[in-house]
Amino acid sequence: MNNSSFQDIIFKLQQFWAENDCIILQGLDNEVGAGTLHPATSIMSLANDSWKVAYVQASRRPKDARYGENPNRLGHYYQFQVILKPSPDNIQELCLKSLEAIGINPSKHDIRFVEDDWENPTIGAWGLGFEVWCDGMEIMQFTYMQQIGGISFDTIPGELTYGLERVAMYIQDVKHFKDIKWNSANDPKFAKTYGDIFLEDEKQFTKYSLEESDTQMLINSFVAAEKECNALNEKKLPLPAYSFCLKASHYFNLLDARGVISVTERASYIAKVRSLAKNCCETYLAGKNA
Amino acid sequence: MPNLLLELYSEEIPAKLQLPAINQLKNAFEAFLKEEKLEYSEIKGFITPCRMIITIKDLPSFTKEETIEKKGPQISANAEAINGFLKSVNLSDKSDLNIQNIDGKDFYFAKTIHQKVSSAAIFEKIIPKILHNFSWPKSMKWGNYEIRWIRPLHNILCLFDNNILNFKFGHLASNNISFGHKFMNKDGFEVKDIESFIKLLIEKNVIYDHLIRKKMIHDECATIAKQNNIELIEDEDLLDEVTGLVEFPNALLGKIDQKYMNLPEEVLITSIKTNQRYFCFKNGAKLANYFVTIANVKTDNDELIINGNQKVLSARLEDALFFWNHDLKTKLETQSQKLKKVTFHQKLGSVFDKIERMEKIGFFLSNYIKVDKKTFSQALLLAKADLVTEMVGEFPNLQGIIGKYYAIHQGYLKEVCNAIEEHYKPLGANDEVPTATLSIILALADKFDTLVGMWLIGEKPTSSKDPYALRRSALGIIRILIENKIDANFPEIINKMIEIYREKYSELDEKLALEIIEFIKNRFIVYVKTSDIKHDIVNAVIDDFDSVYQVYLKIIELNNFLNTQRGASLVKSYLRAVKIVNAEQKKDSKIFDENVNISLFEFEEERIIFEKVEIISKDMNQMLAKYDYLEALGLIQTLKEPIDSFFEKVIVNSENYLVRENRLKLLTKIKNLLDKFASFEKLEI
Repeated sequence: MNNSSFQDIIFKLQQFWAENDCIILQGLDNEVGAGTLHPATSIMSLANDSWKVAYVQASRRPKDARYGENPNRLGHYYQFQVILKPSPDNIQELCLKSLEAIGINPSKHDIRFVEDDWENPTIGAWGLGFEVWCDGMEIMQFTYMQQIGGISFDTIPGELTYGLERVAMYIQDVKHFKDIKWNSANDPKFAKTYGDIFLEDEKQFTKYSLEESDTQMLINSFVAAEKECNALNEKKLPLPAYSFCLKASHYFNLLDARGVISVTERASYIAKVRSLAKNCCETYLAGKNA
Repeated sequence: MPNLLLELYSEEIPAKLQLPAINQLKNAFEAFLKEEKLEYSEIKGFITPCRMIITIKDLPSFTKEETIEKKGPQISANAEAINGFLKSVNLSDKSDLNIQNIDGKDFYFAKTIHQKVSSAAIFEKIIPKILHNFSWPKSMKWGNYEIRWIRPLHNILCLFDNNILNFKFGHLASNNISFGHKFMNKDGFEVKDIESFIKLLIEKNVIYDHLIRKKMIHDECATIAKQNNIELIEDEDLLDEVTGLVEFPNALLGKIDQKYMNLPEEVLITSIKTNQRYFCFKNGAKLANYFVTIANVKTDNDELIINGNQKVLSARLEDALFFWNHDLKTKLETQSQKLKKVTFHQKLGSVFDKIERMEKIGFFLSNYIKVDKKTFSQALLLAKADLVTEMVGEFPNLQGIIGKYYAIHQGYLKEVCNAIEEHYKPLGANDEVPTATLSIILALADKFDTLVGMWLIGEKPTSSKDPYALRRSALGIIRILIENKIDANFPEIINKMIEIYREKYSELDEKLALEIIEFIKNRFIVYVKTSDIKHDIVNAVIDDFDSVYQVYLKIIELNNFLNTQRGASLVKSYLRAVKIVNAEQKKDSKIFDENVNISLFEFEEERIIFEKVEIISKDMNQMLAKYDYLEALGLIQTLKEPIDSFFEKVIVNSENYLVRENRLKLLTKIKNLLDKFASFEKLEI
């Protein structure tokens, strides 16, 4: 393959999408389970007709945490997220070109667009689209979003998501995430792997999410965040309100990882978060149109 | 003669939707051609992930000119009606109208001529309609466009008589352009006619005919199998799906690292087939360490693609191996303690609570099926332990199967290991029931617990929803008991199960037992229907539904009985007797008892029947107690001649009031005898 380091991949993707009219943002400073929850996707794409944005988003999925022992599974990982609104006619071609930019040559591989219907019930979002497979492995997804926050789009945004660790492991041909080269330094003392930087993170956060979290505190925090989100929407401050919606969602993820939520309770929590997200989106749009 | 060519070029259509879609499109065209009376020599539909193609050959350039007689009002109708009719056929004078006599009345008729129209003009109007009315199970919008389709539609090619047929569907205008294979020949090209079009498609690596493509894939796999001395595992569903994932199939053989081949076959097959859509092979009795992926390209270095696929599969199998090793570090019985934290149902506690209930009902069931209690308790502790393993977390459809493998590995008793897998059976109407005693009791305990528990908290199935699969549980219970010939008493079991639940949940309603039995009864009736046994026979036997196995035996014997001439004839006589008794009971407004007075007999036939019935009654009771239905029916059968003679010689309605009543009591005695076996009255002969 090639020797792109993890950060090289990020630079190249940012470069490619910048050249395709995207504004390059930084990741959100709030815990989220996926890049879709960044307001640049969830709220801005509802509010703007012409909107092209790309960013790296750290994503936290406590349920997937495995102490760093499982070679393919992480509780904290990075997604590269792109929104193109309106979705361009040549979006598939752009996907392939972006892969070329990071060293995956479509003409040498078996690339497939395999049906994927995506949904994120916590923010009332769904869309139809594809997983992009490269020689049997899913390396990215793109979705034509039909709804967010329960609100249907007139102009459809295309969302592209790359699982960066997966892409890096593929490109660098490593079998365990901890062996991913994060950078390529002149002085080998400064060359670090993913594991050098984040393995301890994985261990400690897994122990926290699966064993040590204070569930009562999390339950109370969910309730408090829910309350504040509703209050702030009342005060016509949907953006700060949304930050509390995200916190509530993260507390739910932590409770879920701990195994204390039953099947029926889970449905109820998801419904609550979805309702908060819907409220924020609607309040934002109402404010914008006023 | 002109041909029509239509190609809809889009982003990839989900594999499973492709065949229904091309059929829908073809049917829509066929219907419209029929309506417009356009003749043609053939219509074909082809589909690839990116294209829907319709070809119609040898159409007429114009429709036929047609003369139609349109029927109007009667000549005696008022002026308004006649004028309205004239207007509707563009005539001004009623002298231009014909008159025809129909059933004695005179009607006005107008000759209208439908001019010939160019077929192209008709297609230009109709094709957009077909596209707008096309129905996808799910559809989406994209960009700024109005139209909806399964995935973004990018180009519409349409030629009639080798010229562009002009129409619009949303923002898309039809043209004469198509595209080659997306990765190998993606440039657009101009299309002149059907023949050159399909020739170019093939040259540009598009195997447009899905049937040919499917066969190619199958043949390539078979060839590879032969070359490597392995056997392809046929899978029609996988083949159909893979056919819908490529425009140009290129079968590539990959190897699986031997270190994974000791994983359970079910795990390997799930990873290889279900997750990766590869074809699997057998090497003798075992799974071969090969797979075939159908790539959508041909490159000058297919090795790269094969390596990539091997890596992905290795990663998945490495995961599975990781889970396997990790899970095996803990004994299953220790794992099962974690079930205290797994909810069975919010209102019914944890899975561990379920196991405790299963132990109690299991001990009760050992009244009907002998089992060693210690072994049973051990099996119980392990039966659901695999639900909390990593492996079942990753492969939830392998519950039970994984548990069995782990148990074998950890050295538990063989029958216990088997019971872990078998207690979920039967998994469907075509699956076997468990036959080992331990598996049977575990399976029954599990199903009774779920069925009764869900019912008690109101989670009953409706005609459209059965989320807890209670119908399947009930059918499973029925089949297990019948096929294993187990005589178990439903009311006792259900009541005991309710009692067990009420130990912890005293608010649950014990009177629901009757409803639950009724539900199982209905499932049984459905089950028997599949054996072609008429419903009246089931109805005759079903009231006494304590033991489903006994009821089933009775039904079989009764059915056989009624299929004999003697049997059918006997029942006819019986029904005749019942009819008489009922009629007379109504007339007299009384119910007759069995107290026959032998001194009132006038005929030998009366005495013969009476003695026969007396003897049979005694034996009958014994036989029913031993469930000897064949014998019991044999006895009943011996009544045939006596009854026939009786009806021949004796007139029931004697003028003598006492004799008449006595004869009615005799008939009642016969009726009551047969009723011990079944409600023969319900039979329809």
